[in-house]
Formats: sequence, C-alpha cells, structure tokens
Amino acid sequence: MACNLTKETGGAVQFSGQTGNDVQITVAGKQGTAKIISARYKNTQLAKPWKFKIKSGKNLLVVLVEDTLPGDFVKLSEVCAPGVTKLMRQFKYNPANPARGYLIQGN
Amino acid sequence: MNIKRIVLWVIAWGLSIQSSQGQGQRFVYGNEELIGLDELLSTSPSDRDEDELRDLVDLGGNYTRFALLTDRRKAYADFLRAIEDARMDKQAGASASSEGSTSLVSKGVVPRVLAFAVENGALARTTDGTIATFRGNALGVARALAGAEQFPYCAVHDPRCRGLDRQFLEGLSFSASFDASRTQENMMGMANPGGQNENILLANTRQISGWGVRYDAPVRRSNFNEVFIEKWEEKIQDQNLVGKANALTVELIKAFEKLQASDEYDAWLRKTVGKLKLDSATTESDVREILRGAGAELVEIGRSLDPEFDAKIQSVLSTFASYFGTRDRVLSEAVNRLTYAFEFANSRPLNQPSQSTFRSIVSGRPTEQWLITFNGAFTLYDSLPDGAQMGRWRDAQLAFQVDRRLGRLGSSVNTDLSGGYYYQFMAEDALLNIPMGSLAPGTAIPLPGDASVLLNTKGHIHIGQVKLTFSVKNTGIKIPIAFTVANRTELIKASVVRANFGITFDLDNLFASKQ
Repeated sequence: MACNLTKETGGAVQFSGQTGNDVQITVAGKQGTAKIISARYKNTQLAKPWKFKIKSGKNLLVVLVEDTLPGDFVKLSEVCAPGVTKLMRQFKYNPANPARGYLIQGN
Repeated sequence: MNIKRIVLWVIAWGLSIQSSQGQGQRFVYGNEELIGLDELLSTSPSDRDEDELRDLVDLGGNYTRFALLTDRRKAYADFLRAIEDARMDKQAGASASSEGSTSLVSKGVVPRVLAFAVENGALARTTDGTIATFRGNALGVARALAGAEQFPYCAVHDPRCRGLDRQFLEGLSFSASFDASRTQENMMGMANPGGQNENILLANTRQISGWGVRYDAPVRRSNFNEVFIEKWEEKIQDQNLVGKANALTVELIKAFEKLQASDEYDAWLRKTVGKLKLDSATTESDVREILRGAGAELVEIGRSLDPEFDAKIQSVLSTFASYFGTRDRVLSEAVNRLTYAFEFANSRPLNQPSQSTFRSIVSGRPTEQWLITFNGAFTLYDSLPDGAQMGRWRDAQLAFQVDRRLGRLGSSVNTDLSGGYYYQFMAEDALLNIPMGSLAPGTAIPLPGDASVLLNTKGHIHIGQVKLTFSVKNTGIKIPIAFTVANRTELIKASVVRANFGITFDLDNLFASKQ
C-alpha cells in the first residue's frame, strides 16, 4: 500500500487522490493515548483499521478522536505501509470538539 | 446581615470564576486552541501563516462551535440535560435522621444548582412526617442568581476547566428541610379542632425541621495515572458510546458535506483568511470582529444552500449532547476513584431538643452500574435542659447502601434498585420536650410550663431497606419507593415496618433547559 493522499493548500479541499485508491488512517497522541472512535467517509461508516476507497468528487471524511489528555497534540496520519505513516494533519484534542472534518477531492 | 454578605461574596466569586473561564474561549467562532491566540496576535498580520489561519477558521475543525453559534441555547440545554440524566448518585432529599426521608444513607454527590424533594416516612425517628427539602450548590445558585451561564460544559476527564476555586464552590452545598405539618397548634401539643388539612408548606422558621452545610471532595485520578489510562482504553470502546459516535458522524456529514464542498464555502474561507492577514486584523478586538462576522456569514451561506440547514444543525446538537453525556458517564468510572463528603446537619425534631449531626460520607463506583456509599456520623444535643443528668453526645450512626442501575422501563423511565443497612447507637436516653399546655403524662392535668422527660431509649437500632427509584428522562423527576424494617425507633423499643415514598425534582435540568 502506497501513500495515496496529497495535501492541498489554499482552499477548502484539504487532500486529493486518485479515485478508487485505498486509504488507511491512524491517529497518535503526543503525550496521551489517542484513538479513533468513529470515522465516516461520504455515506460509508468506516471500521477498524479505518480504511476507505477514494470516491470521485469532493467528499467529506469525518473522524471522531478521543485522547486521554485534553490539550494533547494529535497527529492524523495515512498508513502507507506497515509501520510507515505520512502525517496528514495535527490538532489539539479538545473534549468539547472531538470531531474533525476533512474535504477530500477524488480525481 | 452576615448571610447577605456571604451570598454576595458567593455571587462575586462565581462571577469572577465565570469571567476567568471565559478567557479560554475569546472568540465566538474559530479553533483558538490550535494556533494559540496570543501567538497569532503577536505576529504581524502579513506574516501570519496561511495554513494556520485556515485551520483557525476551517469549518471541519469547528463543528461544535459552529453548531453552538447557530443555536447556542439549544446546544446547552440538550447536552447538559443528557449529562444530568446519566447521573444516579445525587442526594436530593433529606438524610436518614430526618422525620421524612427515603434515603438510608447520604449520597456522594449533591445537585449542581438546586433540588427539591418531598418525602414521607421516617427511618430512625419515631415520628413519621412529610418533609420538603431544598438543596442547593453554591456555585450553581450564585450563577443562577447573577443570570450568568451557570453550566459551562467541562468534560469529566478534562482537568483544565476545573480550577481549585471552581472545585471548592462546586463542592459546597446547603440544605433546608421543612415539615409542613408543623403549625402553631400541633407544636404546642393541641388538637386540630376543625380537622382541616394543615399540611401546607409555609417555609417559615417554625416549619424548619433541619438545615445543613456540606462539602463534597471527589478524588480524581490524574490523566497520566496508569489505572486511568487502562480504564479509559476499556471504557472508550463502550458499544453504547461507539454507537453515539457513529450517529454523530452521520449527522455531521448530513449537515456539513454540502456546505464544505460548495464554491461559496471555498470563497468564504479564502476571504476570511485574507481578512486575517490585513493590517485591520492587528488587535484582539479586530480579530474578534472578523471572526464574529465570518461565523454569522457562514451560517447564512449554510441556510442559503440547504433549506433544512437549521433542522440538521439541531440534529447535530442533540447528537453531540447525547455523545457528551454518554462519554462522561462511561469515563466517570475511570476518572473518579472515590467521593468524600463532610456534612453538618442541624435538626429540630418535633418536641425534642435540637441536635447537630457531623457526618462523613464515602462513595465509589466499582463498576459503571454499581454505586456503593458508606456513612459514619455522630449527633450532639445543642443544649441540655437545666439539671439534666446526661451528656450531650446523643448517638452514633453507621450506614451503607448499594445502588444498582436496572435499566429502562419503556423509553422514558430509568429504574435503580438500592439495598441498605443503617445502625444507630443511642448513647444517651432521648429527651422529650412536653410543651406548655400539654397534659402531664398519665394525668389530666395541663402543664403550666415546658417540661422535659428522659425516656429509657439507650441501645442499638438496626434498619434494613430496599428501595426502587424511578427517574423520568429529561425532567429531573425521581420517585423513590422504599420498604424499611427496623428493630425499634429512637423513642419506642418496638419493631416497625414502614413504607417510604417521595418525589424529588432535580432543578439542574430546569436550569439547563433555560440556557
């Protein structure tokens, strides 16, 4: 499995990739323990190990992450190969705002 | 005068905490935590990083705040009600030593704003009564009186929003119990000639049957504690919680995918980021104005793109509320080891000298469904009649209770089953006051003045109780029904079987729904 998502800058689209390619995501906390509790891409509810196929057009990926440590830095990464990850985004975990949405453009 | 000062002091303290908490979120819209606003404001607008600014305002990192911005009152009402509904370890009614109580033990947590309970049937007392009890929390009442938001949401595992001052005021509570049956006539031992129903709650000083002050001190595990992390990892996989999380992601996609994928949103995002790089976005108030305007504009874009936008936002909010409430419930076991509470209660039983009880309470949850509570207490007479040949130490008490959540009856009623044991050692014979005008014992002679009788009541009291409590969802109403068996009561050495019942209103829910 290669890295299939590319970071986009400037506008609303945050990642792009080839339609039909597989993507697997994971999270890690800097000091605490972070876990994906739920993830949904377009109309598909994802399950562990949080994999999906890129769909055509602009579609929303929503990831709900919890961490043992409020305020912890959480890294959201793509799993490119076993043990190999690529950082997609990082954010501070806030229990009052645990869900993140990313717009993915499928080409 | 002193009471007024104390109330004003509590209000002022509550407001000062409110304002210091408000500094955590300085803007109506925007993900302030990521960038660090001080860092943002200390950078010249033209030098600000565009990616960071985009993260600040991007809707995908601001779902909760954007939903609150769209319908703030609805959000607070829903998620606070969900959290409050999930709690079963609150003491709303009177304690066991009251003349009207359904609680064999004092529980570990009191309501956050105000609770009102009417309970019938004594436990240890000889005199049965109907007691109305008001319980209030210092922080919640101060904020309610001041008209401020008395319930800023603070997740159960988030220590950042729990300073020492907030913990202290949250833990401090008070109570007052009123016996509606106490009238001028029956307090003087006179019959009610007309036979009218005199059980009217006047809440005057004559009807006060007790008052108390209490401090709750929960012992929390650190977020770095190994036991906390181990329990967190187990609890965060809770199937109910995962179900709520899945429902939330569904609602978020429904509400926001169309908006975030639109050209209008893309243009809004570029425009807002551009504004934050202009010299007119130098000060905090400049940035606040830009973000307030941008948030309001985004709400209007959402509405213009989707006629059902507001309805979808409301679904998002209620699903967020349900998720937060469920998360707090399942994680509370990982966070809270034990709750210690210390209570001072002054009781004024009918025709007995007033008494002061000092009670220590420990409660804990070995699992999410179970709650175990222990009480230890002793009672002193406030004063003794002239010439009384006895000590002021009246009794000592020990009690424990186990509560088990049984589940739902239909869609709107929760049931809890409790079993408890209460022991009281009467160290001294009980004193009974016979008021002026009553007949002297065994005679038809009216007493010319107050008199005291020392009853032969030293010894041991054992009480067992089984209780079923029905909680009506989203209302704060609980209806406890209990059966109690005692080997004797305080004044009469004869076994007794009693039914105790009541209704409690936890006004936290009412305050929450008014937000």
